[in-house]
Amino acid sequence: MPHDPSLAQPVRPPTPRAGAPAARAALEVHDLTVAYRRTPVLLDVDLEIPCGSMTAIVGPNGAGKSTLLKAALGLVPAATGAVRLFGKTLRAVRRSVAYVPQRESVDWEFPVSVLEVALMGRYGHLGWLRRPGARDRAIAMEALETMGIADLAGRQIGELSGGQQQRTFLARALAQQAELYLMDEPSAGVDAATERAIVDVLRRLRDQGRTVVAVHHDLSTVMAWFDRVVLLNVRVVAAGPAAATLTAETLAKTYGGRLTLLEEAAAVMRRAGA
Amino acid sequence: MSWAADLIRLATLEDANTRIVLLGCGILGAAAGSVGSLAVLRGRALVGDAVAHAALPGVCLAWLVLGDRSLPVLLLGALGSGLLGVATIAAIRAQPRIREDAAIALVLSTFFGAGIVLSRMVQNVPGGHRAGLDGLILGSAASLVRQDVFAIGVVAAAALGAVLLFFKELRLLCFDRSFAASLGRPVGAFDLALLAAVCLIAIAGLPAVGVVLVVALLVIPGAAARFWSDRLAAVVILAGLFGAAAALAGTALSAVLPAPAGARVRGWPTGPLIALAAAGLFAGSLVAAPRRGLIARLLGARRLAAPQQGAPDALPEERSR
Repeated sequence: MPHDPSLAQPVRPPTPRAGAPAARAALEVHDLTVAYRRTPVLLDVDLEIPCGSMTAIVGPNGAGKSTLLKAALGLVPAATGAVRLFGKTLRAVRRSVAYVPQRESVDWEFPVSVLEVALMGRYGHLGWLRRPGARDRAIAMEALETMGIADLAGRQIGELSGGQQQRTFLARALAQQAELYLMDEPSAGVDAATERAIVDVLRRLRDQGRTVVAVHHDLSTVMAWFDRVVLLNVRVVAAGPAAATLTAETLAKTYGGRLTLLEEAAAVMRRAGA
Repeated sequence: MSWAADLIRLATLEDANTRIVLLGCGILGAAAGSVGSLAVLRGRALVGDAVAHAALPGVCLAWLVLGDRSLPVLLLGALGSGLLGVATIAAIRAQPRIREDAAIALVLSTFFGAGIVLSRMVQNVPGGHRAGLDGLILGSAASLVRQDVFAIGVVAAAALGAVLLFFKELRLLCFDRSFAASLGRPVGAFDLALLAAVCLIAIAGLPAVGVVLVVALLVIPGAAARFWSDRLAAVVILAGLFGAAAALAGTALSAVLPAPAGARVRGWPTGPLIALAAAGLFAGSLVAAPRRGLIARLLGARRLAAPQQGAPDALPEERSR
């Protein structure tokens, strides 16, 4: 395997951190079907994502990748099925779950500063009426520092580059101090330095025993970055440890007859030496 | 020079009625401007317009069916058909292949058409020509009485109080709805509350601004305020001030402008003058606001374009706008 050998095994076995909800799986999805106007977007999805893992959700456009994250968070109604987080209902563990929506889903001309966006990561701990205090500010600033954008704290978000916007979203998720991070294309359309910074942060979370699930679009990096992969195309095609799951056969099944993607997949397999 | 005398009376607030009218318009403008700015940021600018237009048939029906011409009853009718309009928009949007802007245009024009037809029927009923319906279409601030101002005050206080109390949550909802939902916030209920506030303000504003142009007071002040600040709190407060200023200016103009020769009604309709006053504030902000206005940006662009000695390859600061 040509990739960073330190990634083949987790640095230490993922153990739930003190105070983390004790459970076997961070995210369990059973028999989940989501339909949009009677067309299924997800069909009979069964999944188990272990605690302390870093999982990529991979699949073609329209495969239901974003919908899977949204269904796990209760943002879209499920036709059938159940979702459990750390063995409990979403309602019971909501404060332990952080969500990073797609960057394009918001208006970046909105009149807020970078720090104010990071502070929104504290709102789940604050309730409706309490305003963020000194401790929340410290946590938000620390998250901005971790993402390398503390110097931009006072900037209006419209003045940021795409990479800096994505770092802002990641900082907001870090400020949530969650156990499970659900991220929708965290590295889409960002510069190389930001991509590197994001991967480093995700790995650090994983090494702290937290769980990261990210929709990922780049087949050439998925093997190097993630421990586990879920190949999705409306149904789950394959899921498990990255090296064992990403095969020419499963990729062909996931991407169907799309030639260019098949070629890309073949290139990945050649590079991976499979 | 009767209009000069009018102007002096207006400026000195000597007349109790003038004081009431200006108070009502100022409060209405402040509430419409600040709540409207949030609605615009949430992408709901046109809903207030649709509600106001959809209110007209309700007003006429209330007058025809109940035979009651007191303003509270007419406004209840307005609220009823305004809400029916919103519900119709939601129902049409639930259909495949029809987008929200089309649904809003469809409902707005249909309800307003029905309203105009009904208003002609009202005018054919004995006593109907004095029903004051024309005032509700284009606004007639001079007709505001103490009760109307009281109603405006109650609606404005409730709406502004809610904005103050839930400001942090409104910022979250307007900026990133799906993230707010991921925190377990009842985003549907918050959206509905914002919509209700817009509806109530639009309805309360009907006598002063009229169904056609209420939207000016909801949308333009927020758009103008955005040129002056990048902070949401400042934008909302400034939008309130701009709204109040536009409403007061429009009302004052309608009171003092000499009426066109041969006009049957004394004075000008308020709605158009308020809309023009708001547009003036917007144009001024667009041109002259520091940093974000046209003049400031032109000067800034010239500074960037000026050749810098010793650094011929200097790149302009990276910015997405």
